[in-house]
Amino acid sequence: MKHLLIIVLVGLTCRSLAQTEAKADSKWEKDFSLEIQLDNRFFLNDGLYERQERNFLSGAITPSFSVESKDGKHLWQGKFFGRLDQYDVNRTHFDIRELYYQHIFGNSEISIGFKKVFWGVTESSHLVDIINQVDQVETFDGESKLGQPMIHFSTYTNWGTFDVFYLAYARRRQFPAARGRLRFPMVIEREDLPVDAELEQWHPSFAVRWSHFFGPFDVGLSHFYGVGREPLFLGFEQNGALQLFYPIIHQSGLDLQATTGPLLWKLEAIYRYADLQEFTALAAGFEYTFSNVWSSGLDIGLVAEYLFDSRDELTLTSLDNDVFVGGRFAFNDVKSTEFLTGGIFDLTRSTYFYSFEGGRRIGKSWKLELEARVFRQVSAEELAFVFRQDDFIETRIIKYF
Amino acid sequence: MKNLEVLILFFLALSIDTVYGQSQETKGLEIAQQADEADQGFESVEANLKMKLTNTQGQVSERYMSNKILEVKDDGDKSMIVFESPKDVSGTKTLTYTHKQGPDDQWLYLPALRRVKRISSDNKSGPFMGSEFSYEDLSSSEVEKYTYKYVEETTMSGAKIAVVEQYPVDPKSGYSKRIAYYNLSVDHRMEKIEYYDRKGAKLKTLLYEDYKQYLDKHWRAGLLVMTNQQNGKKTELIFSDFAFKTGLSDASFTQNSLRR
Repeated sequence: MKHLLIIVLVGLTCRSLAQTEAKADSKWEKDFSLEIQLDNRFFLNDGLYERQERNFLSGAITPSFSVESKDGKHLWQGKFFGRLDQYDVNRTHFDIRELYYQHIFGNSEISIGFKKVFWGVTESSHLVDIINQVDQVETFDGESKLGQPMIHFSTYTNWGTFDVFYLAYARRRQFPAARGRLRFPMVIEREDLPVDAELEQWHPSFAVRWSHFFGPFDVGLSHFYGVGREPLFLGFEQNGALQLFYPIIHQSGLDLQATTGPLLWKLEAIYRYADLQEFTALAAGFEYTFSNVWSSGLDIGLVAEYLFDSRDELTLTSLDNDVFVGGRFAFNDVKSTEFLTGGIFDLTRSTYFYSFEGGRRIGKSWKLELEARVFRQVSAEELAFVFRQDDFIETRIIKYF
Repeated sequence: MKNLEVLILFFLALSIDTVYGQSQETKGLEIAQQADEADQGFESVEANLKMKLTNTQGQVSERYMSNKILEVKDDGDKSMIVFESPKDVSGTKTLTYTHKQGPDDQWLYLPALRRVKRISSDNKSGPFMGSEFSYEDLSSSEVEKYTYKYVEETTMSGAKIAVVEQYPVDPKSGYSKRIAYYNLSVDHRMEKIEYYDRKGAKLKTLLYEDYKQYLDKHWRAGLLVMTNQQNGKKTELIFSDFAFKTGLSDASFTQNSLRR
């Protein structure tokens, strides 16, 4: 029955798309694009666990399309993703990132299909953002996400924007395979983690959000009910395995930004309730931008954020009482050179974590990206202790068609 | 007695200067207002843009984008820019609510994350996409954003031209002044702007070319040429497919419309 729902959703999307193609004429604007990347992840140290490799060559492909009616009332969008990894069989994966139909009428819109939704304002963690499951094998920072099947209604009024989501199915996250890095001592397969008790991952979830802006303030209030996207961590089994499962949760979220000249104030806060665990978490800070430094075109943004999570050492991300300090450098040159670098410092334990992400265009349609993540003095009390040998440098070259 | 004469003469000179000065400022403002009024009632306009950047070695790089503007009564216009090329920034959009007074509201949409970010509109003087246009050169030019001083009347290719100095009200502007050339023979349309940097040195010259009139009223240049006198670089903005009164409304300029 539930499988049927997804099949019907995808079917409807494809059928309406086919119909669009059939009567395709000047009433439609069509766009197709393709992104191919070659990627090398080099780990500076040997892995802690047997069979872990040090250098991973991989390739990824991202085809996407959009078809929009000229009257702006109908929109079909699709984005697919596939990666082939040299050693990590779980990092070799395919996903429908997006595949949906959207009908726009007046100040409202309704979408059906696989979508990606982003909520929130802070840079170093994304607490409020809860609609999509993260694609954990793809990126380390949680910014890659799996497509989420949904029906989404949104309306824009004088009192703000109201969003209502029906999320048909809860997707579980994938973990690195035996030869992969950034993994726990025991290899976890996606299917190993159960969903709460009698409920299963077909259990529907619901979410609502109100967002608005008043002068310099942008504010969002949200509530989510259903299968949590983040596994609940209860501790370790006798054999060292992690006790993880997907609980049914209620989560209320607040995101707030004040934009005062070059200074942005940011706040995200959540309260999450599950039968076995309830907690609050917070990310708060600021970003100050020195623009056009010495009339060179260079923008330097300084970011400082405090991260708190009342789960303490049970915090899956280990960001329970930490400070992020970073700098964003945008050169605004012809090659769009920019990079973001920073460190996360644990205030109660010894753990440091540094990162660098940068990119530059080459020619008209190529881009070179560099990413580095370094762990230092990781405290044995934190979950991140298992990643202490996993410093890496990743180089990507991307071709856009 | 002699002293009194000098004093009277001094005050006379001062008052003449004040009256003359005021009229210079009022006249400058009036010309800017007339230019603004001449273009009122366009409701909305859409256009495609090609940006051609040429460096001192003659190397050329190009960017493509589209632009939508909604006329807002009693406040600044709303506008959306969608980037199409280079491909790595394709789908990136900016949404700006210009205000006659105070800072503009601006949002940036990043398609890879599907994230909408409110950004500071403080960065006015920085280069737009590596070009010789700064953000403030491309934002909606509201009358209230400058104070004015009329300089003189001259002619350019047979047309009557009013030369007006414009002083940015916003201290974050990258310019100490602009010198604007309004065509009095043709609806006060802009023909040229000269930009002076914060130190008072001449920085750039913008030429408006290939003018066409739309709906028997609105003049739009098909080509803007910005030349930087200090670094020798040049950026051309080539407009195409101008469409007026296309039925855009407030709903076309929301965060939801950024995400489409």
